[in-house]
Amino acid sequence: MSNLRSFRNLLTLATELIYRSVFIGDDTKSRHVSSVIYLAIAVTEIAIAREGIIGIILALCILMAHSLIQGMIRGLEYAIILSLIPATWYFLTTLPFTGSLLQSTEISLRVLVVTASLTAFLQRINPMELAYLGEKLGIKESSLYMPLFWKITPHLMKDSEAALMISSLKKEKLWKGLAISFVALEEYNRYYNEGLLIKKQSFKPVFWYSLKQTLINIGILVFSLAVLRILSLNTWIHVM
Amino acid sequence: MNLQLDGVSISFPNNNVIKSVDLFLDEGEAILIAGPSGSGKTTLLRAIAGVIPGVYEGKVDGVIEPELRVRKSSVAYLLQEPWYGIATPYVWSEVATFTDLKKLNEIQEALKEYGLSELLHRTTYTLSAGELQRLAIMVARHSRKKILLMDEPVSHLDPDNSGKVRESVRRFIDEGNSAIIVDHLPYLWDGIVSKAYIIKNGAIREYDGSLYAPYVKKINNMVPPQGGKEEVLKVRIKQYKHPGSQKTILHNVNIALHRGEILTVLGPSGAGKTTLLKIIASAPIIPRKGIDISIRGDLLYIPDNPLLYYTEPTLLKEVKDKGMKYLRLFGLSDSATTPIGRLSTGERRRGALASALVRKSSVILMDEPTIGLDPINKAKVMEALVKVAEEGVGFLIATHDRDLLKISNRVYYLE
Repeated sequence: MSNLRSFRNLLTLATELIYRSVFIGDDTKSRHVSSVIYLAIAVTEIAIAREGIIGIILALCILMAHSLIQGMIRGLEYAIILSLIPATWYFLTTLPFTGSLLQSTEISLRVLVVTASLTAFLQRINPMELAYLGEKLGIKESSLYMPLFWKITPHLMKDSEAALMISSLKKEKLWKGLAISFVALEEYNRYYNEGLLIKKQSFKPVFWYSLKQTLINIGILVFSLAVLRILSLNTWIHVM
Repeated sequence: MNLQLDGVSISFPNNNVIKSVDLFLDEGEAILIAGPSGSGKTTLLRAIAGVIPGVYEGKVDGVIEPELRVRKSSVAYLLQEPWYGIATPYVWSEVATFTDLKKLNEIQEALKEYGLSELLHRTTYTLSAGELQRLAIMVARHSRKKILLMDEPVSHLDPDNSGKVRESVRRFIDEGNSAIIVDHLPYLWDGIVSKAYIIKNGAIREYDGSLYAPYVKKINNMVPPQGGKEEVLKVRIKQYKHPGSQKTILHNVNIALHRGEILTVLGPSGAGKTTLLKIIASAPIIPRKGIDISIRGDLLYIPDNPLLYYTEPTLLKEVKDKGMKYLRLFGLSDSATTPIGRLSTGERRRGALASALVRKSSVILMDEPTIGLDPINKAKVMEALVKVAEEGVGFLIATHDRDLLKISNRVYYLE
C-alpha cells in the first residue's frame, strides 16, 4: 500500500513537472522562430552527446547557453529536473549489466541530454505556427486541433493531478483517480465541441516570425553543427 | 438582426423539455431567461445556437428565424464555463485568429477597452474565469457577431469582475447588437435587459420575481454551526509564488480551523483562494518551503469541478450501504444508482459531502461550493454544509459567494 502511495505521489509530481516544463510561460519572442530550427538544434545536441563524455558536457553547455540567451533558464531548470527521472532509471537499470559506475553514468547523462533537449524543443515550439502552416498546406479543418490540444492539455493535466491527489486523500486505489480523469475528458470533449461549434467556422490562424530571434537561433544551430563536426573529426582521427 | 422563435419545442428520448416557446429579440435589445436548474433554459439556448441536434441528441420542432446557416455566422455562444469557448493558447492568438484585428498594436488597443491589455501575451489557460468571459465578449464584438447567447456568464465571477462583464455586455448592446442571457439572478441585469422571462415545466412566461423569494429568505435566515474548540487544521504560509513567477500569491496567511466550524476564504478572482486550498490538500505529497500545515485526522478536498472528487461510478458505491442515510439527508436517494456522469453539478457536490461524511474526515476543503447553483439548490447545499459541520467536521471554503457568510463562523479575506 505504501509502495502504491509512493508511486501515486511520484505520478503526481511527474504530472506537475511536465506541466511546469512544457506549458508554463507566456508567449515570448523566442516562440516566434520556426520549429524546424528548434528541432534541428535539439537533434544536433543529441548527436553531440553521442560523442563520448566530452560531447555530453558540450551538449549540456550548448543547452544551457541557448536557454541563457533566450532568458529561459527557469524552463531549463524544470527540463533538467524532469530529465533526471529517466536518467536515474537508466543509471539504476544499466548498472547490473555494465558493472561500471562510469559507463552507467555516461549512459544516464546521455539520456538526460536527450530528454532535456526534447523538452527544451517542446518549450519553444508555438502551436500557432503549426496551425498556420497547416492552413497554408490546405488542412484548415485539422489545423485547429494543434492550438486546441495545446490549450486543453494543461487543463487536463491539472485536473488529473487534482483527481490523483483526491484519490490519495481518500486512500483509494490509484486507477480510480485516473478513471475519473477519463470521465472528465469525455465531458470536456462534449463541452469544447459545444463551445466551439460556431466559433471554429471563422478560424483563421495567424502567426509571425521574429527576425532577430531567428538569426540568433540559426547562429546557435551553426555553432552546434560546427562542434559536432569537430567532435566527429576527432573521433575519426582516433579511429585512424 | 432580429431573432424569432415560433412554437419551438425541444424533446429528448422520453423527455419533452421545452413546450411551444414563442420569443422575439429585437435589434439592440437584451432579454433575460431565468428558471430553476433543469428547467430547460440552457437547452433553449443550445437549440438557438444550433448545438441541438448535433453535439447533443434531441429534436427541435417549430421555427427559429433566421435559419441555422445565418445564425452560425452571426451568433456568438458563450458557455457558463468560459474556458470551453476559447480555442487557442494565447490571448493575442485568440483575438487575431477569430477577429478582423490582426496587428498586435490593434489587438492591444481593443483589449484595453475590456481591461485586458496587460494580458496580450498571456496563456489563456492561466486566465481567471472573469478574464476569459471578457475576452470571449471582446472576440464576439470584433468578429462582427450580432447576437450574444450567454449561459450564466457571471456565475464564476466575484462582484468586481461580474460588474466588468455586465459593462462589456452593455457596450455590446449599445452598439446595436442583441443578447439573450440565461441567469439565476435576474436583478443583476437590471438596466441592461428590457424583458425577463422564466422557464418552468417547459413553458415560458414573463418573470415576476416570485420563484426564488422563499429560498432567498431561507438562505438569509441561515445561521452558522455551533463550532467546537479542538483545532483540526493549522496553516502558516510565509510566502508562496507560482513556479516560474515573480508575483507573490500568498503571504502571511495564518489560519486555525476548529472542529465543527465553517471558515470562509473570500477574495476576488485570481487572489489565490484555490491555490491556498490546493497547497493545503497537497501538503502531504508536495512539501513546500515556508509553508507549515498541521492536520488532525483525515482531510478531504472537493474541487470546484466536483466530478474530480469521485472514485466510484455511482453515489451508492461512493458512500456504500452505510452512507444511504446521508444520501437521504441530502435529498439524493433517487439518484443513488445514477452514473456520476449524469448527475447535475449540485447533486455531485451534495454527493461528495455525503461521501466525506461516511469517510469520517475531520477537515473538508471546498472550492466554490455554490457556483452556478440557483437559490433552490444553493439553499440545499448550504443546509448540507451546516448539517455536516454539526457532525464535527471543520470546513475551509474558498468562494466569492457572499451568501456563504451567513453560515460562516469566521471569514478570511485574501487580497
